[in-house]
Amino acid sequence: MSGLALSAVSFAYRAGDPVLDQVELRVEQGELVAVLGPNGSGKSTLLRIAAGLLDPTAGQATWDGRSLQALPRLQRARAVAFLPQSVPVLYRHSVRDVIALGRHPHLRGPFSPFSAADRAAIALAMERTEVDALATRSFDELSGGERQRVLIAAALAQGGRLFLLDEPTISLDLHHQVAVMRLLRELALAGRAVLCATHDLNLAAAYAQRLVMLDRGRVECTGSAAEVLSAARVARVYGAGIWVGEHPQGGGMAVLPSPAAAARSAHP
Amino acid sequence: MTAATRSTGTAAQTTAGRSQRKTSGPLALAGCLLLAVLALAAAPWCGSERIDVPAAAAALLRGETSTSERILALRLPRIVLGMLAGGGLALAGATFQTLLRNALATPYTLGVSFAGAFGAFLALSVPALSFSLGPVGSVALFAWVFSALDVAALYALARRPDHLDTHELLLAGVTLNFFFGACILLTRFLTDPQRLRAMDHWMMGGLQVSGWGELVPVPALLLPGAALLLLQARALNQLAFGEELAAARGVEVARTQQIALFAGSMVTAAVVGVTGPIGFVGLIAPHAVRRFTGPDHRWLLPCAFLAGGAFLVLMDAVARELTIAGRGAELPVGILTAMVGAPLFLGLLLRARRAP
Repeated sequence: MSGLALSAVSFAYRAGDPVLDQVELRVEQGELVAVLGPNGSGKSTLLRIAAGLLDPTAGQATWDGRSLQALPRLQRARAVAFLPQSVPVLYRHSVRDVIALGRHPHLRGPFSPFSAADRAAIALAMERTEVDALATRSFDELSGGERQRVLIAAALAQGGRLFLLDEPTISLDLHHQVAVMRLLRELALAGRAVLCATHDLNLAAAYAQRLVMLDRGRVECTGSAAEVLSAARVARVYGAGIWVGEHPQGGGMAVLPSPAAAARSAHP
Repeated sequence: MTAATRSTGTAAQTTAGRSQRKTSGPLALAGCLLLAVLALAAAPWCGSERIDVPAAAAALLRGETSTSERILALRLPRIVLGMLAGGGLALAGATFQTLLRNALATPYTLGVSFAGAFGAFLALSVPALSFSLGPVGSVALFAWVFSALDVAALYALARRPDHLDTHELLLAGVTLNFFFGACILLTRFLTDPQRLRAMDHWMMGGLQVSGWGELVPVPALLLPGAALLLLQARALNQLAFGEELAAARGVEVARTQQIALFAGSMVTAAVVGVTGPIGFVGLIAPHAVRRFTGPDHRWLLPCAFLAGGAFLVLMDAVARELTIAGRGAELPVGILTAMVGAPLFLGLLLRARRAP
C-alpha cells in the first residue's frame, strides 16, 4: 500500500476519552489533502500519529505499507517531514541555518560536516521556496509569511516524500495564505504526499484535492470540496451561522460567516 | 505571529538570549583557544609574591623546593582548576539555557550548588563528619552526594514517558534552591560560631587547593560530563526549536534532555564540590560567546568552555594580586567574577545595540 494510510486509528490521551475514533485516511503521493474540523476535533493528534510521534491506541498508521511507529527514528524522519502549529524560537538563527537544520536525520556524526548531497538539498529547498534572497537574514526578523516559507524549506531539505503541516496558514494575511497553499499544492504536484490540518475551509476548498472533515474524533466525511462542504454538514459540525455556497467566480465552494443565519437560528 | 512563534513572555527572551552570529565557528574557536592559552601562560606570574616562573618551573622539575618552587607548585594546580571550573560552569550554563529554554538559566538554577553547599556545610559544621577518602575531603564528598540527591529528585518530578517536562524541571529546581537555601541557614544557625568563618569562606567560592591530589576528582567527573554534552551538540540545536519539531527530525528528545540534565549537573557538582559556588561565569560566558559563535552548540559549547575557563583563570590571577590590606587575605574570586564580568557584559550589550 503506497502513501500514507491510517486504518481504524483510535487514540486517547486518557482511557475512556477518545480523541480519535476509528479514523480511516489515505494520502497518495501527488495529493494535497486537507483535514478540517472544529477545535478539539482531533486534527493535530491525527497529524502527530501520521508523523509517528504518537502511537495509536488501536489501528495502524503506515507509510508505503510500513508501520510509522515501527520505522527506525532516523529512517522515519528521512521519509516524513512534520511542521507543528507552533515552532518556538529560542536563539537568533540565520535563514540558511534554519533550513540546514532540516538535514538532521541525514547527518552521520555529531561533528560531521555537510556532504555535497546535504548542500544540494539545502540549495534546492531554498530555490523551490524562493527564500534564496533571505539566506543571510535573521529568522526572527522575518514576516510571518516569510517564516512559514523558510520552515517549509527546512521540511523540504529534510528530504521526505510525506509532508504533514499543522495549521500552516494560521495568522498569515490573505496574500501569504494563498502563497503557502499554492506552494503546498506545487509540492504535491511534484510528487509528494501533503496532508495539512486547517481551520480555513475556503483555502482547503480552493487548493486541496480532497478534504477530510473530522468531528469529535470521527471522520464525518471525505471527498471533494463539493462533497464535504454541504451546508447541512457544515452547520452540523460547526454550528449555525455559516453560509455555504458556490464560489462567486465559479469552480468551487465558499464558506462565510452569516450573521443573518445566526440570528435566524437564535430566534426561529 | 505565524506558526513560527517566539516563546515570548518568558524570561528566556532577553536580548542576551537572542544574540546573532558575528564570527564563523572555527574563527571563534581559534580565538577562544588563543584566549585560553594566553590566560594559562600569564596566570603563573600573578600573585602576591613575585617569582621567576621559568626558573622556578625548571627547579620544580629538578625536585628543588625553595620558596619560589613551592609558590609555583601551589599556583599551577590552582590555575588548572580555574580553567576546568570556569570552563565547566560555562558549558553547563550554555546547556541549561537550551534545556530549560531560559536565557537566565545558570548551572545553579536547578539547585545543584545550594544542595552541594548544604552538604558541604554539614561536613564543615559537624566535627564527626570531617574526614578524607584519599585526596577527596568530606566537604567535597558531602557536596557531591547532596547535589546528586537534588538531581535525582528533579528527574523523578519532571520525568514523562517521552520527554522531561522542562517547565516542571525549572519550577522544581527553583523550589529546591529555596529549600536547600533554608537548610543552609538552619545549619548556620545551629553551628558553633567559630566554624562560621570557614563556611562563609567556602560559600564565597575560591580556587585555593593544596596540591594536585585535591584536584584529581574534578577532571574525573567533569571531563566525561563535558564529552557527553559535546556529543549532544546537534541534538541541542534541534531542541532549541521545540521538542515536537526535534522529535519529528529524528532526535531522541527524552534521551537528549536526560543527558543534558545529568551531565550538566555532574559537571556543575564536580566544580562546586571543590571550589564552592563561583557565580556569574555560568550565566554570562555562554551569552558572551554566543555573540561570536551564534547558537550552534557544536561551536558554542567548546568556545564557552575555553572562554569561561580563561575568564576564571584571569580573574583568579587578579584576585591573587589583590591582597586585602590589613587582613593578608586574597579577594575571593567569586566576588571578582561578578564585579568585573557584569560591566564587561553590559559593555558587550551596549556595543551590540549601537551596531548598525
